[in-house]
Amino acid sequence: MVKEACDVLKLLGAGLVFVSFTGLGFRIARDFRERPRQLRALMQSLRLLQAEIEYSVTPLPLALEQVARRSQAPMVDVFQTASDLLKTSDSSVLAAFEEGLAASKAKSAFRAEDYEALEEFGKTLGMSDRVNQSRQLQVTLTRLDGLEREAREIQKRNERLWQYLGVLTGLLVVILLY
Amino acid sequence: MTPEIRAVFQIAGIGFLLAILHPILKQSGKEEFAQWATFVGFVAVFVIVIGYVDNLYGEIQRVFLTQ
Repeated sequence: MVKEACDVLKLLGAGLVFVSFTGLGFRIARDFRERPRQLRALMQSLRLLQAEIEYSVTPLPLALEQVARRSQAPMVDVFQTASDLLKTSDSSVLAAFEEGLAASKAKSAFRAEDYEALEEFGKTLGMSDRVNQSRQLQVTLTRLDGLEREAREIQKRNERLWQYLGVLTGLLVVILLY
Repeated sequence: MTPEIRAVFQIAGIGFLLAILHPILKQSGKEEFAQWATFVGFVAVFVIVIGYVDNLYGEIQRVFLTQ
């Protein structure tokens, strides 16, 4: 009776270890998969911002809000937070944008170099006239395009690998401990 | 299942997993990781085997060298 209970407990523990290792592997693989997608969404958002600035000549807080309303998951936080800060307090554009970036950090799959490009862009935001601003946006978009291509390359090499690695490590640990 | 049979299956399982892991790691351009994984598996199997070899020598000593 006791032995049977022990066996069941052991099986349960082995299952838990396996599931958590597999989950960890898939979680890491997801970041590799999400990064190119989120970079594309970011570029889309920046193009929207460019249109807002260039053609509708919207004031920056409103433009950021418009963009936030039409962009996807992690970028909503950036633009919404920045826009809210600009509207409610008299912080600088750079500070508000960086606050927005910090707010998105937990949810996004971006890496340090992506954030670097964004921070560089934040420094130019609201610092110059319409034409120059548009040019800066174009520069950022080109840079992000390169990053996205690189991210896709990295994804191709790493996504499958981490999925397999999670499952196999789980099996290995279970075998070693069983 | 006796402990000895279990050890045999354990070692076989480790062998299988490493045989799958090695080409996967190699394919994604992480050769040194592949080598390390194989090495770690080797050590793990050694640790398992050493216990039994120790047992074997103890047994031989007990049978032949007690007089």
